[in-house]
Amino acid sequence: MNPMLESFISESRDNLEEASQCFLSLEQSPNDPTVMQNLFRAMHTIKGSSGLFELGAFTHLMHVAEDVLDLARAGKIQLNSDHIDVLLSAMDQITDWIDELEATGELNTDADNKAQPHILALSEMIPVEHKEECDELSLATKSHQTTHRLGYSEIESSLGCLSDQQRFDIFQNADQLTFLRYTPQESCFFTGDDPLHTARLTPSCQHLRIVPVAKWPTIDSLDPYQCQLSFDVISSADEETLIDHYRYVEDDIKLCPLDMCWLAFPQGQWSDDQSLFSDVLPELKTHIDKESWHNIPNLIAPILELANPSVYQISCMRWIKAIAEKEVLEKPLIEALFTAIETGEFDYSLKSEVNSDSTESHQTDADTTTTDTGPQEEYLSNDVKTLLATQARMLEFSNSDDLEGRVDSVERIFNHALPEEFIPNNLLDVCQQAKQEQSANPLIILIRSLLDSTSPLETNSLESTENDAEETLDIATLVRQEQALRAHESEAAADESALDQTSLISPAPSPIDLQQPISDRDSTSELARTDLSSTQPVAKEPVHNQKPQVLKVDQHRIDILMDLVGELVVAKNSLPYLAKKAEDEFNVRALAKEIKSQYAIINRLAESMQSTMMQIRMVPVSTIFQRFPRLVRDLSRKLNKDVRLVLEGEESEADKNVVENLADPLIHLVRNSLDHGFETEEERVALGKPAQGSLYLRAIPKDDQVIIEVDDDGRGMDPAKLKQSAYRKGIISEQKLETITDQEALYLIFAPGFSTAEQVSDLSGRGVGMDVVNGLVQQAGGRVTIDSELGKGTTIRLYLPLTMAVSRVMMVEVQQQCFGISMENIVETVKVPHDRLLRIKQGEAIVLRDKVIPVLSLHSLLALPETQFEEEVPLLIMNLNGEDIALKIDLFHEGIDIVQKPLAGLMSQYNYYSGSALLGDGRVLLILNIKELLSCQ
Amino acid sequence: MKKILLVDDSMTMLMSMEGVLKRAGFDVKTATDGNKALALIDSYAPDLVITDLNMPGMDGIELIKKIKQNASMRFKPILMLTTESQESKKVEAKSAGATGWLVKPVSPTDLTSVIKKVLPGS
Repeated sequence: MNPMLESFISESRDNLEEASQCFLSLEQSPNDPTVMQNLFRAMHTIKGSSGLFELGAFTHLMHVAEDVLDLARAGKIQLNSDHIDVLLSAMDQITDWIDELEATGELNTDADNKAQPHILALSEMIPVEHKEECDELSLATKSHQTTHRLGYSEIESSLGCLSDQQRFDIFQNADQLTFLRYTPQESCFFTGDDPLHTARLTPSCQHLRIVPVAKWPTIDSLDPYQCQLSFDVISSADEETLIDHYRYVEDDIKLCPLDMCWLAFPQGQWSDDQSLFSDVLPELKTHIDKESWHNIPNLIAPILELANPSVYQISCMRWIKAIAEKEVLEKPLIEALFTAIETGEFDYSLKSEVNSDSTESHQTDADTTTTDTGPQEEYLSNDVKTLLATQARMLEFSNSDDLEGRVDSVERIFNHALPEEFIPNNLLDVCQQAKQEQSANPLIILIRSLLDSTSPLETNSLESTENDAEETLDIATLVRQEQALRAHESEAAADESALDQTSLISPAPSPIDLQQPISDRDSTSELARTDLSSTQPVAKEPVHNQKPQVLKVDQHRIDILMDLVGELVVAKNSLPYLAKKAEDEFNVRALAKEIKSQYAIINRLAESMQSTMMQIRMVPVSTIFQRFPRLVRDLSRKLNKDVRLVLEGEESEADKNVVENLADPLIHLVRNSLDHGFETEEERVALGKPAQGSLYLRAIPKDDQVIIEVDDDGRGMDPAKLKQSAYRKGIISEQKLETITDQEALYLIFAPGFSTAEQVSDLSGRGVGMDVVNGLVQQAGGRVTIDSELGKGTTIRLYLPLTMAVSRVMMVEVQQQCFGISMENIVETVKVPHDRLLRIKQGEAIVLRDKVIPVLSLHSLLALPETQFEEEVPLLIMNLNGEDIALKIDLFHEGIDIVQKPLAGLMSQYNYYSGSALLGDGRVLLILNIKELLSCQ
Repeated sequence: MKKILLVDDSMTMLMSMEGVLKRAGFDVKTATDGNKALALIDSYAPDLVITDLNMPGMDGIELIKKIKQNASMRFKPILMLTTESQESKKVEAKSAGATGWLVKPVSPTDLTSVIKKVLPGS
């Protein structure tokens, strides 16, 4: 299967589990925000991931469910038990689909039909007034209500900045245009935006113009980390495409459709010499009046080829031709252009002014952009002086690390900010010298001499910079700020390039504002301080509170490793044999001793390896207990019995396989208990019991076992009824009916085909009886015991091994053959004089600690010849289904750890062998299943 | 090669996006929760972070805020993964410092085109 789908399935299972738990706790405490949040997250993840696999119905259902939860989270729906029923059943459908996906890799074709009732039921939960809201929510990304519109007045000046040729090119290239103004937030660099990059990538961009949003601040108050630019874009893409492109900064853009007519206005020098075109004007007029547009281009083209394009009238004619070629948008426009040829007055009122809902007007206008052509400064401006003085200061602060960069920056400032006549001739040499000597002094002296030689500084700028202590501090702060921000050099470079771009593309905005005095210093240094305070602690503080790392590993690999470790544990058992052989056969005692000591080491390693492996596979039983609150809730609602489920010891751990094998038997036991065990509320009250029944699910770790208890305070089991029922169904003989003890009678429910329920209910009696439970538990290497008191309740205990991989067996010998018997059932081993065996009827028995225990012979059970015991008889005392029996054997051997392998092929039908194992010396040991063996009798 | 850090509690999402991005020629690392992501930031120094919004423990918004406290990440773009029903979260994420968002499920073309947009030079 596709590994992504696999991961989706396992992940969704976890999330569904969590979701259903959350639903149940929501029922208890409907407004718990944490639970709500977890629930929402779980559902959300399933939905989000499902979208990857084209599971239409699946995603749709999750989507509706999420809508409902969203409203519930916002407090717009109060979830009650009925709602939760609907949601849970929807989750059940999702679980079914997950199973389907796992089995077939896709959803069945009927998925849509199956989803429909759930979707309907869920939609009904959404109150009418919120229905739209939900729809809106899902469509929210598509709504453009928030996009600001621009009016013609706002873009007029921007259009005015385009040359006639530019407008003409745009006009000819496109059939529809949109004007967009993107004014990024000042702080946009801090959200990782790159406005220039975004603007340049505008789809079908015809023209991009960058303007400063306000007059440039003086160089010392300019913060390069703030975006001060605005982008005017003309694009031939439609609005939707543009809004989609700018969707992350939707609030920062304004746009409007750009009427092609807006581009068409003449520009140029009025020429009094009209001889070139005066001839064609009457004919042109006729064509315009007759609206025979197709004749116009041919008429005008020759003139355009000959004439000087910068002439006003020619510009008019060019536009007339272009508009005529477009099959005419506006007759009045052509007429207005025509009039302009004759009068020099272009008068065309824009009829299609778009209504503008934004009152804000753009701060930059054409005037700002033209102010820069003022007279050249004859002397160094105050700003440049401040700049130089600041550079000198910065040089003083520089150290060997950053000296080179500083020198470069000074050099650049000299070359870019100073008029040519002020650049010192020896600048390059001094810079070189500074770098070589690792000292900024020569450069500082150069700057100072330059500052002194030019006209003295006027009042407020440098004087204050040099003398005012506070200002000095400011510069120091600036330097520190810059050091703190050194990490962002690349970004700064990007900013720089953005600034360069500005001066290249926009029609020269004034680089430095000449009038504005130095101000805003404080805010800059304030910023620097906050910068430092916010960045430093983070840099110093090591990342702590790291959670323990979790590694997800395919269970199959763990299983393989587990098997290998199991084999190793067994293989090491061959060493003692080897030692014995060395001693007995080859008579090298020293070697035997060495092998034994090595064995001790390997043994220790193997054992600790095994226990570590076991811990790896350990999972808390809570993983299956979690399913029960839901089950009990559903069942008790369905059966109309009020039952409280109490989980205890969920944190106890057991092997993953064991825990997983436990799930089905437990579900069956809990179902049984609810269906048959508990009385109805009325019955309970009549019996003087609390109206609410209690069902305990307990996990109790004990040695190398974990005991799972299902304990109810229901009506208990009636042994007499059980006996009768078993007799009627032919499970026990009449003779047995009389002799069977009450305790034994309880275990009759494990007999195949036994069911006490008078009628088969749809909950428990599904043909899977307790025999199946018993079988499953035994398969997992465990056993089941029952305690029941009529009228008081029933306790069923599952004894499960912590791990299934390695089990402990005792080796016994019968007629020179070795067999393994699981240690679980063995109570003790005794040797008794043969005369203590009593004959009772056909059988034998022994009295052990005042208790009569039947004695069986393993020989006869295995159809081997009986052994005649001379003196003592070795007996294996076992506990099966709560009853003790003694088993006669020939010899006890040691207890060993084995990895049990199920019998395969022909042998698999002999269920009185539970499996086989390989011994250290290479022999195969058959493991006996005593219970099966007894039932074969 | 531009480095991208993916943060999502869903392995499925991580796998799918990682595949797409690696094929598109990016260097990709993944983290399954906020703390792991933060631990990776310093050593990996990604050029772009893409984070899920709904995660157990630390949610996406909180993660973005924490990432933004890291001096070296202040100007790095961060994209947030959401579903369409969380309009208000987009605003919240934006104010926390996210550059933009991706709507789940993300198609490979969307993913790469959005990354081209927010990651100059990619």
